[in-house]
Amino acid sequence: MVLRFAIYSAIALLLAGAGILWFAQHAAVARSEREVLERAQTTSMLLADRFQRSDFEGPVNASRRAELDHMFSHVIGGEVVRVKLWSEDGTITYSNDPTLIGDHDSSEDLASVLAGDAKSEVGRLNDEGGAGENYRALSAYAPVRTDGASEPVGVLELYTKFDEVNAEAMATLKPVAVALVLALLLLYAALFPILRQVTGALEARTRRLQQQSDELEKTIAERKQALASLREADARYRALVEELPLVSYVSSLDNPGLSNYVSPQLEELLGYTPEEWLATPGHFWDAIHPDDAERVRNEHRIGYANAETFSTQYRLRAKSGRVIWVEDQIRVIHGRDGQPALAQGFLIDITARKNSDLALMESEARFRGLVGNIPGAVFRCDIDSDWTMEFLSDAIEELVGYPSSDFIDNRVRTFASVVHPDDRRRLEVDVTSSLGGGRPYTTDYRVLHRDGSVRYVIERGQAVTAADGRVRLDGAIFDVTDRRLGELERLKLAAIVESSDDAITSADLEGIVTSWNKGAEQMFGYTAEEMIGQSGSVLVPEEEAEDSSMRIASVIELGEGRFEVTRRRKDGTLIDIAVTMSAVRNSEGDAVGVAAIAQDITDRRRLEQDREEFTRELEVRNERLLELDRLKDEFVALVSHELRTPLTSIRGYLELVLDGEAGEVTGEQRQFLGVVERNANRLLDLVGDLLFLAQIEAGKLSLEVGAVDLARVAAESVETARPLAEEKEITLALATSPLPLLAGDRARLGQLLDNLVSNAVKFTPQGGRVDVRASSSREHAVLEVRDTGMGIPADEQEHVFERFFRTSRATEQAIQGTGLGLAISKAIVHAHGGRITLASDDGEGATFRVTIPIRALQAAEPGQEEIAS
Amino acid sequence: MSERPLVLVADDDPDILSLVTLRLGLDGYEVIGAPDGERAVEEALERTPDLAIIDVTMPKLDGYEVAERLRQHEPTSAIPIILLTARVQDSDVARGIEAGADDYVKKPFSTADLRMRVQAALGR
Repeated sequence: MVLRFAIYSAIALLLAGAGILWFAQHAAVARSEREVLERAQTTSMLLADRFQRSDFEGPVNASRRAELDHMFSHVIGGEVVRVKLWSEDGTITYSNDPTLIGDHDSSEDLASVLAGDAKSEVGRLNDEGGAGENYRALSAYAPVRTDGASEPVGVLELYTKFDEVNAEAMATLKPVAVALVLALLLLYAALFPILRQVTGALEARTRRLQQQSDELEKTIAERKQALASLREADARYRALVEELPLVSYVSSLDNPGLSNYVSPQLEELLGYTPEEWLATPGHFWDAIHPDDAERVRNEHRIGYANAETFSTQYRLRAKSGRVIWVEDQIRVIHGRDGQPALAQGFLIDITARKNSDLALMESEARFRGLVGNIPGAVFRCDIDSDWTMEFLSDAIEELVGYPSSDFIDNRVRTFASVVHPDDRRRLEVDVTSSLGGGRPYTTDYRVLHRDGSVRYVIERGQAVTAADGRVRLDGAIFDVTDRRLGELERLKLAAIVESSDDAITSADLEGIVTSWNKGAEQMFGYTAEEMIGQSGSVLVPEEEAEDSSMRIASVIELGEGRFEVTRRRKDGTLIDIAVTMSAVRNSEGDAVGVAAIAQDITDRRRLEQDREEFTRELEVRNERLLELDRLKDEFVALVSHELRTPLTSIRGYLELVLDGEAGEVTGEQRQFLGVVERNANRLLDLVGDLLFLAQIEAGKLSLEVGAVDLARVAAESVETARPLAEEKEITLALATSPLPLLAGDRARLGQLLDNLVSNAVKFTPQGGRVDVRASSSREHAVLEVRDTGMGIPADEQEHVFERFFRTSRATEQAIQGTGLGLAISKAIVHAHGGRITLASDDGEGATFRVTIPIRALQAAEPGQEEIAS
Repeated sequence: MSERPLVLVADDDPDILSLVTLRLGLDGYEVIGAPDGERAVEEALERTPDLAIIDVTMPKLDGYEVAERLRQHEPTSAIPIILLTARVQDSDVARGIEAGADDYVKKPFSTADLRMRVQAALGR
């Protein structure tokens, strides 16, 4: 093998070397030709202007030949050995070999050269005649153009020694060729070991294949033998199974379904002969019932993979079209290698059995379907305290939340246990009382659902005597919860409507009254019997009729509305009502009427009117009061002016007289004039007090706040009152502790103290005592004026600070006074933020006590302070 | 001033008018009496008194208006004015000051008090 390869590769190598050399040679020739041709063309072009036209018209004469010899002498020599000039018609007109002149050769080549193609060829020098050594030469033709002519006038042919030119070309190409050959040799030397290895591997492989091939042949031989014995067994088997009253078959696993062999009994079963059957591949799947095909396919797949034997049942369509139920018993046959190989089975006709089974199932299904479709639970039970169930349909689960199986034979619970405890006794009574006559009974009760809710049911049943003589109940239980709850809801609403004081009514779209409650009867005076079916328009006064129909239309459009309207009662009286109306719609949402709730607002209207009237009256009265107030202010201003002006004159002239301006005044005159002056002053005080009170009432009391030494003010008041006290021999005592200055109106506080002290003196009898005390606590200045007078009765104490109030004793004893002093005093104290109190035991004198805050007024801004009385 | 000071007194109450005139006369003033506001303004413009004592509540022109007019005219624009009134509200006082009065004497007044105020107004 190796040797052969070596020889082959050596030959190939030699051929390649020869090829390269041949190519080199050939390339050298081609290159020589090209060079010679180029030389001829160059020469032709170089000599173009030295040729004459006549040089190409016929053989040249001797003189011209000499000229041309001379001209070409530069060219001839060296490699170029011969020159020829050709005329267009193929006559040699000149050559350096004179023997050739005049020769004629009308070859095609010349014409093509004249047409523009350059041409060269290898041959012998004297192939076309001529003298001298006849060595290998290369000739090249080139067209000649004279005098710038565009068309050639003839052809120039140059002969070159072939060997010289070729040797030159070879000299350059040979080293290349040799190098290539050497490179090839080196490559071969490098590749040879690898190639040898590859060749070795291929030889080993071939040997192995040969071995395997031998083994295969042996196996095939064994198989053939096995198959022969199998066929023998098969034949025996067939003979046996074809006697049995069933169809036996063999299928290959990749094509299940009686595909390899089927026994002749098939004809009896399906009407097909085995030949007919097997003639159509996949006949089994055509014949099998479409509803069974998928299932059987799956069973096959699972059975083949997992089982030794399995069986299935399915339907096959016989040739006649009849459907045959078969049982297919399948055994999986495994090959020697343990893999499942074949399925072998029997088909048994089970149509008759199947049909009876189906009929039973169908009847049962029909019964269950029937029971299931009943909208209630159907039962058969014993007549005992548990209501032991023999049968109870599934619908019970929806009613009580437990499956029916729980109740069968009281397995988990008794039916009695789901009956509402309050209804158990009644159910027993209702059922047993109907037993005697064998009458059907109907009763209603509640059941307890598992979720804790209560359902209302109706039970209808009858006692039946079964074949075994036992009496049982057959019946059905219906859920009426929704209906019952709806009923209860309606009853509740009806009760609400009936008990309402409001009138609740409804009417259809034509205004015909459809409901009328007690409230409506009372409100309008018509009974429900009178109104239902009548038009509600009898209630509407003529002048409101149009408005009324518009309102109903708007309610139907908008859904609801609230109005206040007037209606006429049965007795003809008019009442004002507030009515809320809403549209009544049916389940499609179309308005079918209106409902109305009305309240009698006659009283409310009347109250409103009364109130408005009263308000108006109050406004008028208020205006009048304001007017009066204004008049009073004017009056006060007038009084103050009109009283003061004359008093001014009285006092002024008194002063003039008393000053002696009108002459000497006698003692008696002076005494009398003193009385006049005192009374004028009294009058003036009264006017002052009245004006002061008027100011307080107008909210215009103002304080001129400054620092006030209350002890000093008290001392001045005491001194003012002293003449009167001395007159009545009253001890007037003043006790003051050091007092801080307080912020207040000095004049007003003086007025306050004057009032209190003069009052005390006035009301204290002859020889009594009046104590004035001024002191201070941390926050308050305290003034006390205590007298030993007749005191003030308890029932009058609360009134003493009211203006114009005079105690009964003051009146009895004709003590002068206006009843304004304490009212003014109180206003002054309040204006200073203080309090004034009275303590008095009847007949034991009285004590007025004033407290005025120090700090509050110290902190206050000095200046005018408006204080409301 | 060697001559007796000239005082204009205006009051619609003749008793008051003569009382004030008498009193001021006794005290050594020369007094012009006017029974109403118009006469008071006329007299004042004619005689240019050193002091005017004007009652507030008068017919025709009240005391405030008289005071305003006197202030508007050059010869009388600077003379002291004392208003006499029975009104006691603070707003009345304010209005008087606004109208140009220098002092305010409430009725009833004592002649001694008036005398002091007159002296004060005349700067004595």
